[in-house]
Amino acid sequence: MDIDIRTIVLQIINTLILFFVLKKILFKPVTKFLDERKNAIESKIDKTEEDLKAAADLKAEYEAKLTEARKESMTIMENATAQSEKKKSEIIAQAREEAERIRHKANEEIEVEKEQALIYLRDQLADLVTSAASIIIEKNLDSDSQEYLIDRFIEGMDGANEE
Amino acid sequence: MDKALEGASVVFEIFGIPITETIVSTWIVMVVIIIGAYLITRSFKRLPSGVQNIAEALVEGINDFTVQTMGEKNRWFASYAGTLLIFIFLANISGLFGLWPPTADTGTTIGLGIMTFFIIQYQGIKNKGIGLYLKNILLEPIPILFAPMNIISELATPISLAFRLFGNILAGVVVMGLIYSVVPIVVPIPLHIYFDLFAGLLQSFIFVMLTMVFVSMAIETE
Repeated sequence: MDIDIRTIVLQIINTLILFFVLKKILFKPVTKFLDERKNAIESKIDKTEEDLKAAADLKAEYEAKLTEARKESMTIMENATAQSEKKKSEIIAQAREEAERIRHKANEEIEVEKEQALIYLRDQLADLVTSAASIIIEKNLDSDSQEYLIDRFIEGMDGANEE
Repeated sequence: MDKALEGASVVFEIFGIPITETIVSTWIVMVVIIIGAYLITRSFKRLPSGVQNIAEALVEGINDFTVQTMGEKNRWFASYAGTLLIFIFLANISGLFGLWPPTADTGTTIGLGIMTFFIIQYQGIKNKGIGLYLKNILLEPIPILFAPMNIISELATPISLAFRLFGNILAGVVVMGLIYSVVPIVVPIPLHIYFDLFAGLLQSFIFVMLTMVFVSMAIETE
Protein backbone atom coordinates (compact mmCIF):
# COMPACT_ATOMS: atom_id res chain seq x y z
CA MET A 1 0.00 0.00 0.00
CA ASP A 2 2.09 2.84 -1.27
CA ILE A 3 1.04 6.42 -1.80
CA ASP A 4 0.58 7.08 -5.50
CA ILE A 5 1.11 10.69 -6.54
CA ARG A 6 -0.75 10.13 -9.83
CA THR A 7 -3.85 8.97 -7.99
CA ILE A 8 -3.63 12.01 -5.70
CA VAL A 9 -3.45 14.38 -8.67
CA LEU A 10 -6.31 12.62 -10.45
CA GLN A 11 -8.45 12.72 -7.30
CA ILE A 12 -7.76 16.42 -6.80
CA ILE A 13 -8.82 17.04 -10.41
CA ASN A 14 -11.92 14.87 -9.93
CA THR A 15 -12.88 16.71 -6.76
CA LEU A 16 -12.39 20.08 -8.43
CA ILE A 17 -14.54 19.01 -11.37
CA LEU A 18 -17.23 17.76 -9.01
CA PHE A 19 -16.99 21.00 -7.03
CA PHE A 20 -17.41 23.25 -10.05
CA VAL A 21 -20.21 21.16 -11.53
CA LEU A 22 -22.13 20.93 -8.25
CA LYS A 23 -21.61 24.60 -7.57
CA LYS A 24 -23.07 25.39 -10.96
CA ILE A 25 -25.97 22.96 -11.05
CA LEU A 26 -26.80 22.46 -7.37
CA PHE A 27 -25.55 24.91 -4.77
CA LYS A 28 -25.75 28.22 -6.62
CA PRO A 29 -29.17 27.73 -8.23
CA VAL A 30 -30.76 26.13 -5.18
CA THR A 31 -29.37 28.77 -2.81
CA LYS A 32 -30.50 31.48 -5.19
CA PHE A 33 -33.88 29.81 -5.51
CA LEU A 34 -34.27 29.52 -1.74
CA ASP A 35 -33.17 33.13 -1.20
CA GLU A 36 -35.57 34.32 -3.85
CA ARG A 37 -38.42 32.42 -2.33
CA LYS A 38 -37.48 33.71 1.11
CA ASN A 39 -37.42 37.26 -0.24
CA ALA A 40 -40.71 36.74 -2.02
CA ILE A 41 -42.33 35.44 1.16
CA GLU A 42 -40.81 38.26 3.17
CA SER A 43 -42.00 40.91 0.76
CA LYS A 44 -45.43 39.30 0.70
CA ILE A 45 -45.60 39.36 4.50
CA ASP A 46 -44.44 42.97 4.49
CA LYS A 47 -47.02 43.87 1.88
CA THR A 48 -49.75 42.10 3.80
CA GLU A 49 -48.79 43.97 6.94
CA GLU A 50 -48.78 47.23 5.01
CA ASP A 51 -52.17 46.42 3.54
CA LEU A 52 -53.55 45.58 6.95
CA LYS A 53 -52.21 48.84 8.30
CA ALA A 54 -53.68 50.74 5.37
CA ALA A 55 -57.01 48.99 5.93
CA ALA A 56 -56.92 49.89 9.62
CA ASP A 57 -56.13 53.49 8.72
CA LEU A 58 -58.95 53.54 6.21
CA LYS A 59 -61.30 52.06 8.77
CA ALA A 60 -60.32 54.70 11.32
CA GLU A 61 -60.79 57.38 8.69
CA TYR A 62 -64.22 56.08 7.75
CA GLU A 63 -65.20 55.78 11.36
CA ALA A 64 -64.13 59.38 11.94
CA LYS A 65 -66.09 60.41 8.88
CA LEU A 66 -69.09 58.47 10.06
CA THR A 67 -68.93 60.11 13.46
CA GLU A 68 -68.64 63.47 11.79
CA ALA A 69 -71.57 62.72 9.52
CA ARG A 70 -73.62 61.59 12.48
CA LYS A 71 -72.74 64.76 14.30
CA GLU A 72 -73.60 66.80 11.26
CA SER A 73 -76.93 65.10 10.84
CA MET A 74 -77.60 65.74 14.50
CA THR A 75 -76.80 69.42 13.99
CA ILE A 76 -78.98 69.57 10.92
CA MET A 77 -81.79 67.92 12.78
CA GLU A 78 -81.39 70.29 15.71
CA ASN A 79 -81.31 73.23 13.37
CA ALA A 80 -84.42 71.99 11.65
CA THR A 81 -86.15 71.48 14.94
CA ALA A 82 -85.14 74.92 16.12
CA GLN A 83 -86.23 76.44 12.84
CA SER A 84 -89.56 74.68 12.90
CA GLU A 85 -89.97 75.70 16.50
CA LYS A 86 -89.27 79.27 15.51
CA LYS A 87 -91.63 79.00 12.56
CA LYS A 88 -94.24 77.50 14.80
CA SER A 89 -93.99 80.30 17.32
CA GLU A 90 -94.00 82.78 14.49
CA ILE A 91 -97.12 81.24 13.06
CA ILE A 92 -98.71 81.19 16.48
CA ALA A 93 -97.74 84.79 17.06
CA GLN A 94 -99.08 85.73 13.66
CA ALA A 95 -102.27 83.86 14.36
CA ARG A 96 -102.56 85.49 17.68
CA GLU A 97 -102.04 88.89 16.09
CA GLU A 98 -104.57 88.08 13.41
CA ALA A 99 -107.04 87.01 16.02
CA GLU A 100 -106.33 90.14 17.94
CA ARG A 101 -106.83 92.20 14.82
CA ILE A 102 -110.07 90.43 13.98
CA ARG A 103 -111.28 90.86 17.50
CA HIS A 104 -110.33 94.50 17.42
CA LYS A 105 -112.13 94.97 14.17
CA ALA A 106 -115.17 93.18 15.54
CA ASN A 107 -115.06 95.39 18.57
CA GLU A 108 -114.92 98.41 16.38
CA GLU A 109 -117.80 97.18 14.34
CA ILE A 110 -119.71 96.43 17.46
CA GLU A 111 -118.91 99.90 18.64
CA VAL A 112 -120.18 101.35 15.40
CA GLU A 113 -123.28 99.21 15.55
CA LYS A 114 -123.80 100.24 19.11
CA GLU A 115 -123.39 103.85 18.15
CA GLN A 116 -125.88 103.46 15.37
CA ALA A 117 -128.19 101.57 17.63
CA LEU A 118 -127.93 104.33 20.20
CA ILE A 119 -128.67 106.95 17.61
CA TYR A 120 -131.62 104.95 16.44
CA LEU A 121 -132.75 104.40 20.01
CA ARG A 122 -132.37 108.05 20.74
CA ASP A 123 -134.64 108.89 17.80
CA GLN A 124 -137.08 106.24 18.81
CA LEU A 125 -136.92 107.39 22.37
CA ALA A 126 -137.54 110.91 21.31
CA ASP A 127 -140.66 109.86 19.47
CA LEU A 128 -141.69 107.60 22.27
CA VAL A 129 -141.16 110.25 24.90
CA THR A 130 -142.93 112.76 22.79
CA SER A 131 -145.92 110.57 22.33
CA ALA A 132 -145.77 109.44 25.95
CA ALA A 133 -145.49 112.94 27.17
CA SER A 134 -148.32 114.10 24.97
CA ILE A 135 -150.41 111.32 26.34
CA ILE A 136 -149.48 112.06 29.92
CA ILE A 137 -149.76 115.82 29.75
CA GLU A 138 -152.73 115.72 27.32
CA LYS A 139 -151.52 118.88 26.04
CA ASN A 140 -149.20 119.83 23.25
CA LEU A 141 -146.30 121.89 24.31
CA ASP A 142 -144.89 124.35 21.91
CA SER A 143 -142.18 122.83 19.93
CA ASP A 144 -139.40 124.86 21.64
CA SER A 145 -140.10 123.71 25.10
CA GLN A 146 -140.69 120.24 23.78
CA GLU A 147 -137.18 120.07 22.29
CA TYR A 148 -135.70 121.49 25.44
CA LEU A 149 -137.31 118.88 27.56
CA ILE A 150 -136.23 116.07 25.35
CA ASP A 151 -132.63 117.22 25.23
CA ARG A 152 -132.42 117.41 28.94
CA PHE A 153 -133.88 114.02 29.26
CA ILE A 154 -131.41 112.51 26.86
CA GLU A 155 -128.39 114.21 28.46
CA GLY A 156 -129.45 112.77 31.71
CA MET A 157 -129.63 109.34 30.14
CA ASP A 158 -126.21 109.80 28.50
CA GLY A 159 -124.66 110.73 31.76
CA ALA A 160 -126.09 107.66 33.41
CA ASN A 161 -125.02 105.54 30.53
CA GLU A 162 -121.41 106.74 30.60
CA GLU A 163 -121.02 106.25 34.29
CA MET B 1 -9.61 -10.09 2.75
CA ASP B 2 -6.40 -10.05 0.76
CA LYS B 3 -7.99 -7.47 -1.49
CA ALA B 4 -8.56 -5.14 1.46
CA LEU B 5 -4.90 -5.27 2.42
CA GLU B 6 -3.62 -5.00 -1.15
CA GLY B 7 -5.54 -1.84 -1.82
CA ALA B 8 -7.09 -0.72 -5.07
CA SER B 9 -5.92 -2.58 -8.13
CA VAL B 10 -5.18 -0.99 -11.46
CA VAL B 11 -8.09 -1.40 -13.86
CA PHE B 12 -6.51 0.03 -17.00
CA GLU B 13 -4.07 2.67 -18.12
CA ILE B 14 -4.52 5.87 -20.11
CA PHE B 15 -1.34 7.40 -21.58
CA GLY B 16 0.65 5.44 -19.05
CA ILE B 17 -1.40 6.75 -16.13
CA PRO B 18 -2.73 3.82 -14.13
CA ILE B 19 -6.48 4.10 -13.55
CA THR B 20 -7.13 2.27 -10.30
CA GLU B 21 -10.40 1.03 -8.87
CA THR B 22 -10.34 4.14 -6.71
CA ILE B 23 -10.56 6.38 -9.75
CA VAL B 24 -13.27 4.29 -11.36
CA SER B 25 -15.34 4.33 -8.17
CA THR B 26 -14.83 8.08 -7.91
CA TRP B 27 -16.08 8.54 -11.46
CA ILE B 28 -19.13 6.41 -10.78
CA VAL B 29 -19.87 8.36 -7.59
CA MET B 30 -19.37 11.65 -9.44
CA VAL B 31 -21.68 10.62 -12.25
CA VAL B 32 -24.35 9.53 -9.77
CA ILE B 33 -24.08 12.82 -7.85
CA ILE B 34 -24.11 14.99 -10.96
CA ILE B 35 -27.00 13.18 -12.64
CA GLY B 36 -28.93 13.18 -9.36
CA ALA B 37 -28.34 16.90 -8.84
CA TYR B 38 -29.27 17.63 -12.43
CA LEU B 39 -32.47 15.60 -12.30
CA ILE B 40 -33.56 17.11 -9.00
CA THR B 41 -32.79 20.74 -9.78
CA ARG B 42 -33.99 20.56 -13.38
CA SER B 43 -37.65 20.92 -12.47
CA PHE B 44 -37.59 23.20 -9.46
CA LYS B 45 -40.97 24.69 -8.65
CA ARG B 46 -42.08 27.42 -6.32
CA LEU B 47 -44.05 24.97 -4.25
CA PRO B 48 -41.63 22.17 -3.37
CA SER B 49 -42.69 18.56 -3.60
CA GLY B 50 -41.01 15.17 -3.51
CA VAL B 51 -37.25 15.14 -4.08
CA GLN B 52 -37.16 18.92 -4.32
CA ASN B 53 -37.75 18.98 -0.56
CA ILE B 54 -34.71 16.76 -0.05
CA ALA B 55 -32.50 18.91 -2.27
CA GLU B 56 -33.74 22.11 -0.58
CA ALA B 57 -33.21 20.66 2.88
CA LEU B 58 -29.74 19.44 1.91
CA VAL B 59 -28.57 22.73 0.44
CA GLU B 60 -30.18 24.79 3.18
CA GLY B 61 -28.72 22.45 5.82
CA ILE B 62 -25.24 22.80 4.35
CA ASN B 63 -25.61 26.59 4.09
CA ASP B 64 -26.80 26.83 7.70
CA PHE B 65 -24.09 24.44 8.87
CA THR B 66 -21.43 26.56 7.17
CA VAL B 67 -22.83 29.81 8.57
CA GLN B 68 -23.03 28.26 12.03
CA THR B 69 -19.45 27.01 11.96
CA MET B 70 -17.75 29.81 10.04
CA GLY B 71 -20.02 32.84 10.39
CA GLU B 72 -22.23 34.66 7.89
CA LYS B 73 -19.31 36.20 5.96
CA ASN B 74 -18.01 32.77 4.99
CA ARG B 75 -21.20 31.58 3.37
CA TRP B 76 -19.30 31.25 0.09
CA PHE B 77 -17.57 28.21 1.55
CA ALA B 78 -20.86 26.29 1.64
CA SER B 79 -20.64 24.99 -1.91
CA TYR B 80 -17.16 23.52 -1.37
CA ALA B 81 -18.15 22.12 2.03
CA GLY B 82 -21.31 20.69 0.51
CA THR B 83 -19.41 19.11 -2.36
CA LEU B 84 -17.00 17.53 0.11
CA LEU B 85 -19.82 16.31 2.35
CA ILE B 86 -21.82 14.71 -0.45
CA PHE B 87 -18.78 13.26 -2.19
CA ILE B 88 -17.10 11.85 0.92
CA PHE B 89 -20.35 10.42 2.26
CA LEU B 90 -21.24 8.68 -0.99
CA ALA B 91 -17.63 7.56 -1.44
CA ASN B 92 -17.66 6.13 2.08
CA ILE B 93 -20.86 4.15 1.55
CA SER B 94 -20.03 3.11 -2.02
CA GLY B 95 -18.67 -0.12 -0.54
CA LEU B 96 -22.30 -1.07 0.08
CA PHE B 97 -22.84 -1.13 -3.69
CA GLY B 98 -19.86 -3.37 -4.33
CA LEU B 99 -17.46 -0.55 -5.26
CA TRP B 100 -14.04 -0.03 -3.82
CA PRO B 101 -14.58 3.03 -1.53
CA PRO B 102 -12.42 5.85 -2.96
CA THR B 103 -11.84 7.12 0.58
CA ALA B 104 -10.20 3.82 1.51
CA ASP B 105 -7.31 4.92 -0.69
CA THR B 106 -4.66 7.37 0.47
CA GLY B 107 -4.68 8.80 -3.02
CA THR B 108 -8.15 10.25 -2.46
CA THR B 109 -7.82 11.31 1.16
CA ILE B 110 -4.40 12.90 0.72
CA GLY B 111 -5.73 14.68 -2.33
CA LEU B 112 -8.59 16.09 -0.25
CA GLY B 113 -6.19 16.94 2.57
CA ILE B 114 -3.91 18.81 0.17
CA MET B 115 -6.87 20.82 -1.11
CA THR B 116 -7.84 21.76 2.44
CA PHE B 117 -4.20 22.66 3.14
CA PHE B 118 -4.06 25.01 0.18
CA ILE B 119 -7.40 26.62 1.02
CA ILE B 120 -6.17 27.24 4.57
CA GLN B 121 -2.85 28.76 3.45
CA TYR B 122 -4.48 30.81 0.69
CA GLN B 123 -7.17 32.19 2.95
CA GLY B 124 -4.59 32.88 5.67
CA ILE B 125 -2.41 34.92 3.33
CA LYS B 126 -5.38 36.63 1.69
CA ASN B 127 -7.03 37.73 4.94
CA LYS B 128 -4.00 38.39 7.16
CA GLY B 129 -1.66 39.71 4.52
CA ILE B 130 1.65 38.04 3.76
CA GLY B 131 3.43 39.91 6.57
CA LEU B 132 1.17 38.83 9.39
CA TYR B 133 0.91 35.34 7.90
CA LEU B 134 4.69 34.88 7.92
CA LYS B 135 4.97 36.52 11.33
CA ASN B 136 2.44 34.07 12.76
CA ILE B 137 4.39 31.13 11.46
CA LEU B 138 7.97 32.31 11.99
CA LEU B 139 7.85 34.60 15.03
CA GLU B 140 5.06 33.29 17.28
CA PRO B 141 5.11 32.67 20.16
CA ILE B 142 8.96 32.77 20.29
CA PRO B 143 10.82 34.09 17.20
CA ILE B 144 12.50 31.47 14.98
CA LEU B 145 12.65 28.86 17.74
CA PHE B 146 9.04 27.82 17.24
CA ALA B 147 9.03 28.22 13.46
CA PRO B 148 9.72 24.53 12.70
CA MET B 149 6.94 23.49 15.05
CA ASN B 150 4.52 25.92 13.45
CA ILE B 151 5.40 24.60 10.02
CA ILE B 152 5.01 21.01 11.17
CA SER B 153 1.67 21.88 12.75
CA GLU B 154 0.48 23.40 9.46
CA LEU B 155 1.61 20.31 7.56
CA ALA B 156 0.11 18.00 10.15
CA THR B 157 -3.36 19.36 9.55
CA PRO B 158 -3.91 17.86 6.08
CA ILE B 159 -2.05 14.69 7.01
CA SER B 160 -4.20 14.08 10.07
CA LEU B 161 -7.34 14.87 8.05
CA ALA B 162 -6.30 12.51 5.27
CA PHE B 163 -5.28 9.61 7.46
CA ARG B 164 -8.21 9.88 9.84
CA LEU B 165 -10.61 9.45 6.93
CA PHE B 166 -8.48 6.84 5.18
CA GLY B 167 -7.91 4.84 8.36
CA ASN B 168 -11.53 4.78 9.38
CA ILE B 169 -12.86 3.72 6.00
CA LEU B 170 -10.08 1.22 5.27
CA ALA B 171 -10.53 -0.24 8.75
CA GLY B 172 -14.22 -0.67 7.96
CA VAL B 173 -13.37 -2.45 4.73
CA VAL B 174 -10.80 -4.67 6.46
CA VAL B 175 -13.09 -5.51 9.38
CA MET B 176 -15.97 -6.28 7.01
CA GLY B 177 -13.62 -8.47 4.97
CA LEU B 178 -12.65 -10.38 8.09
CA ILE B 179 -16.29 -10.76 9.13
CA TYR B 180 -17.24 -12.04 5.70
CA SER B 181 -14.49 -14.63 5.80
CA VAL B 182 -15.81 -15.93 9.15
CA VAL B 183 -19.64 -15.48 9.01
CA PRO B 184 -20.76 -14.59 5.52
CA ILE B 185 -24.51 -14.33 6.26
CA VAL B 186 -26.84 -12.28 8.58
CA VAL B 187 -24.09 -11.02 10.91
CA PRO B 188 -22.58 -8.59 8.35
CA ILE B 189 -25.88 -6.72 7.92
CA PRO B 190 -25.91 -4.70 11.17
CA LEU B 191 -22.14 -4.29 10.88
CA HIS B 192 -22.60 -2.80 7.45
CA ILE B 193 -24.97 -0.28 8.97
CA TYR B 194 -22.34 0.65 11.52
CA PHE B 195 -19.14 0.55 9.46
CA ASP B 196 -20.51 1.89 6.20
CA LEU B 197 -23.53 4.07 6.95
CA PHE B 198 -22.75 5.35 10.43
CA ALA B 199 -18.97 5.61 10.20
CA GLY B 200 -19.30 6.84 6.62
CA LEU B 201 -21.63 9.70 7.59
CA LEU B 202 -19.65 10.49 10.73
CA GLN B 203 -16.29 10.60 8.97
CA SER B 204 -17.61 12.78 6.16
CA PHE B 205 -18.98 15.19 8.76
CA ILE B 206 -15.74 15.18 10.72
CA PHE B 207 -13.68 15.88 7.61
CA VAL B 208 -15.92 18.75 6.49
CA MET B 209 -16.31 20.16 9.99
CA LEU B 210 -12.55 20.19 10.63
CA THR B 211 -11.89 21.73 7.22
CA MET B 212 -14.37 24.49 8.05
CA VAL B 213 -12.84 25.10 11.48
CA PHE B 214 -9.29 25.26 10.10
CA VAL B 215 -10.30 27.56 7.27
CA SER B 216 -12.21 29.92 9.52
CA MET B 217 -9.29 29.95 11.95
CA ALA B 218 -7.03 30.92 9.07
CA ILE B 219 -9.46 33.68 8.03
CA GLU B 220 -9.78 35.18 11.50
CA THR B 221 -7.43 38.12 11.74
CA GLU B 222 -7.89 38.62 15.51
